[in-house]
Amino acid sequence: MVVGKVVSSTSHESAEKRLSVLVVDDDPVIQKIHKMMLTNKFKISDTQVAENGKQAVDLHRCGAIFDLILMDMEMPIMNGVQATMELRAMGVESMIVGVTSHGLDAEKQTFIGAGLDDCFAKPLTIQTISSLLQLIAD
Amino acid sequence: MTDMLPAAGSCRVGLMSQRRINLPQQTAREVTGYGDRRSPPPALLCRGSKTGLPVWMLGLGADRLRADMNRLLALLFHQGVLDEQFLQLQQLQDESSPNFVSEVVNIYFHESEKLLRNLRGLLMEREFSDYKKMGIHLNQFVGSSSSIGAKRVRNVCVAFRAASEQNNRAGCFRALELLEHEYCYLKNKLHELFQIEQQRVLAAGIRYPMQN
Repeated sequence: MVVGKVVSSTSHESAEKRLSVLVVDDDPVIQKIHKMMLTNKFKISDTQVAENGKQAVDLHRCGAIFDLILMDMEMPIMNGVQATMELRAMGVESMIVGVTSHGLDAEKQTFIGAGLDDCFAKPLTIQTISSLLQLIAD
Repeated sequence: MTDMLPAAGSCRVGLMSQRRINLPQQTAREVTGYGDRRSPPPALLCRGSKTGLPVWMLGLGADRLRADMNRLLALLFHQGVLDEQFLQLQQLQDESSPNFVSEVVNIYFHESEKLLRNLRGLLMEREFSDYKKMGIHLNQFVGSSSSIGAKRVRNVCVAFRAASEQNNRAGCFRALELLEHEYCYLKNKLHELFQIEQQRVLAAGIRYPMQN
């Protein structure tokens, strides 16, 4: 097993993408990892972080638009379910992808029912993000 | 074979700092074989001026340290302590972010110890009944552990969460004990890994001296 950098063969690696992504999560570990994946691996220059659903909603109320929103389910102040419902009610058409560590299917279904385009279990892998960015690009 | 946990500075979680727990733990020397007693060539016994390391360690030392790191990683994968997600973190590390993995892991340690204190604090409450709050802490712990590839810690959190969903206080206590044990083991091993990496970087950065 080799320690160190492994060169990825994803097609997004070399080109700078003019996409914008919002990471909505209260966990600083997840914030750092997702931001690094997006900015370093996929060269998404416009990557922002919101610590809870209310910050995400406020960003949109100020006119921000994102191609992709990675939304955690459980957050203080405003959770992912509420934030997703509010964003859809505001007319936000961005791809909103739920990211959760919840084990119960019923809770995941509630999250999807709030208006998600898809929902994944944590952790998000490089391959998953690559697929999502490919969907947006197409 | 059991060894005591390393002393101060390595792991202070709830009551763990106040009692010793015998863990089946190998020292880095036992795992890696580094630090054996073969004598270096006499001409190379003088110490490098910048690092204070013996000159014989330079250059050759970097390769050996890399091998030590790989062995330790292989052990942690074999034990199920880490999974592929840790490799994903390593893929993100490069020249522009050379300390990314250790930075993320240090944030994880800081957050995890807060969570462990919160969990123990909840369970120690005389009239404890807030399993929902416990579930929130555990969901965060599951998520962050999964994201750094801490597989065994994650699995214990999942079992802990199941006990919490059943309002099983005794089960939660047992799970907490196990979680603290697994977390300490993970923290000790990752600290070892980062120490070896630091030594490797130092050794690799020094030129091997010319011999006449």
